[in-house]
Amino acid sequence: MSTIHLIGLNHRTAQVEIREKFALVEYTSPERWPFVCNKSCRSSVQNKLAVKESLILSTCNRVEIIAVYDGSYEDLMKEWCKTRGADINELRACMYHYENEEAIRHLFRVASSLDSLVLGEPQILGQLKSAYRLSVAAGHAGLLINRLLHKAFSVAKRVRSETAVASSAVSISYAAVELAKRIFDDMSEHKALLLGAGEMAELAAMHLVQGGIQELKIVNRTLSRAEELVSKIGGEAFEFSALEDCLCDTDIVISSTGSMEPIIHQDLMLQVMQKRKKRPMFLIDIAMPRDIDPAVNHIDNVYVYDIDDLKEVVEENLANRKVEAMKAAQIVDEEVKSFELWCGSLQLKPTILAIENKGKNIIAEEVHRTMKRLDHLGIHNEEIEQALEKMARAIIRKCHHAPLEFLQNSYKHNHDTQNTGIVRKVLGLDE
Amino acid sequence: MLITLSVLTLILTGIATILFYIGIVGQYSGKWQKKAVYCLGVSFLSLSLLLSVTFIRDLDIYVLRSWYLLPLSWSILLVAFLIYFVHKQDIIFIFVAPLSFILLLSALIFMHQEKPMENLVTGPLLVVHLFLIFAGIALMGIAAGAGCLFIWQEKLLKNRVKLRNMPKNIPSLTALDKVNEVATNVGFPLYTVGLFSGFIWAYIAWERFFSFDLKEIISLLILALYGYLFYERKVHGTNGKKPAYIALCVFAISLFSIFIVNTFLPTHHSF
Repeated sequence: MSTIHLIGLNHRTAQVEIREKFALVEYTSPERWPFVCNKSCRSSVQNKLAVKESLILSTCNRVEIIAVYDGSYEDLMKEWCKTRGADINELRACMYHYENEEAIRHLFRVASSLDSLVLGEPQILGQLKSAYRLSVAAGHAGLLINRLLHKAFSVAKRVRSETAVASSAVSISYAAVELAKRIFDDMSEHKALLLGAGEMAELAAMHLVQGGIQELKIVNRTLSRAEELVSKIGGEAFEFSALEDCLCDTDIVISSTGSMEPIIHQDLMLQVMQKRKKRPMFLIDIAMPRDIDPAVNHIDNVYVYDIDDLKEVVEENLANRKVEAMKAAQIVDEEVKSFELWCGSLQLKPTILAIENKGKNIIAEEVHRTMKRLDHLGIHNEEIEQALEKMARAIIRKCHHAPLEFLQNSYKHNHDTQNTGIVRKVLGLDE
Repeated sequence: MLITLSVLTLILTGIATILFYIGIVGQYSGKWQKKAVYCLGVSFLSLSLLLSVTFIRDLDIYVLRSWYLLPLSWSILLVAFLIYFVHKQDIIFIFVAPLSFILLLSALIFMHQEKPMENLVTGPLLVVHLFLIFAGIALMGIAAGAGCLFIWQEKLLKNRVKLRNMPKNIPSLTALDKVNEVATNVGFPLYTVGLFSGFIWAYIAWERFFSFDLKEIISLLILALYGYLFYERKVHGTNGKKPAYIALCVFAISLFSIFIVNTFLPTHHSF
């Protein structure tokens, strides 16, 4: 069986600048995928690493690559660095690597939001589903990735329903509103602008609306998406070209676009502040890579917070939810064992297939021989042939039932694959 | 009796200051601050009584250095209580309580060095001059206090200090800026009228409006800076850090004028 590698970095191991540098957000098609799938397009792209299966999860808090690959994870690292034009030593300093069981456990923990910046937050599952869709679309999801991801989704569901790890979730938006209260006295006197219409921004905006914000404006490159969000949480949608005017008129900005370059620069903000007579502004950048140039924070009366600044919520959150997280970890452990069992059963697959094939060959040979004899006797009837085949299949199935059951049970109870040799010998599969 | 009342006021103000700092530094829910407000309230009443007695007994005879500091302390407390009752913000006392304590302590120390003022001209104009100047300085002090808190809170936010490490009881930046703005908008006109009533009083007393006395020159400098702050607020709508720093600067010069110029330098106000 091939090795499942998981390499990545997250909010605990890498600062936002590093995560930005190694982000893999624009890989939305097979041509742009950093690896080639060695089943499909090996010949078309020569200078990319060939892996059996792969999945890329790139969010604001983590960048992870899951690859089914027989080689060393160093190859994956090199390819990653090559793709991003970054230094491998920089990646090595903040990267983690898991293999097989540990990789599965980590993925299940990520899906269940046990490894998230805000423990129990629901966004990560949606992000993982999107990553899986992209992997499928790129033709990189095979037997293992498919099964692994479906299992991860069911583990996440189980954790949510059986523990309180996601209940009364505090979130980045909560922290954002708390910080806004440090700047603005009465939220009902202030306007907010949502730049980008992503899931995280939506949550933050909902918090602001609940906090009593006077007015909400949504600016998005795709106006229809902004209008869709307006229909959900209220406010007014604007074209992206209206950004500067909207900035002049709002006090709180939450930005979470998918842009690779900063959208709000120091020069733009200097103009905006001039127009709004330097009234204070609070900008929350929850995008990855960041939408707001960090230099904007140097402008008087402008306060910029990015995703890392909101990390403290996690610390408080972790303390409150430790017990629930322990329960969730037990569920994850159970599910890892079950998945491992399935993975192990893949090792029995060649033997099971060989038994089945041998049986089919015997049936075909014996039915053919018997039909020849019947031909000599002048009896040739399709119904008789079908009946013979049916009988032969039943006999073979009954004969193979005991050795197959023996194989599966011995693996299930002892994780033992040595018995496959005995079975192969007894049944003469290698002859 | 005056000494007893002064000491009592001083002790109460000192206790209130300590209670405020326990509440703020210890991040308590507000219990300590409430006790401090009561304590400072009693201190204010005691100071009011002290001033009333002094006014009835002494105004027609002496204007003393101690008498000069006591009304200033009283004015600052009065303005702070007005803001407290209107805006429900007790945080301003964190600045006002120690300032009042210092003024009261100084007054008590100088009580033994009383000497009559030369060319004393009494009457309603002197009362107007003193009352308005003190009210103007008191509001300047409030603006400076709010500015001080603004600069602190602003620095925490700019440096992205963790939410849990931020002091719980500090009002928002806009609230502090508002206090600074209101204090400036009310304080500057009062200070201006107070200063010019002083010039008129000087004309009546010494037959000249302006005599290039150091105190007068510094007062004009304060008026210019205070006016600049008022102008920036009213005309340009300036807000945030700049008015906070200007208010602090103006108030620091005022304190210099009250403590250093009055005490150590030869001026008409060295009484």
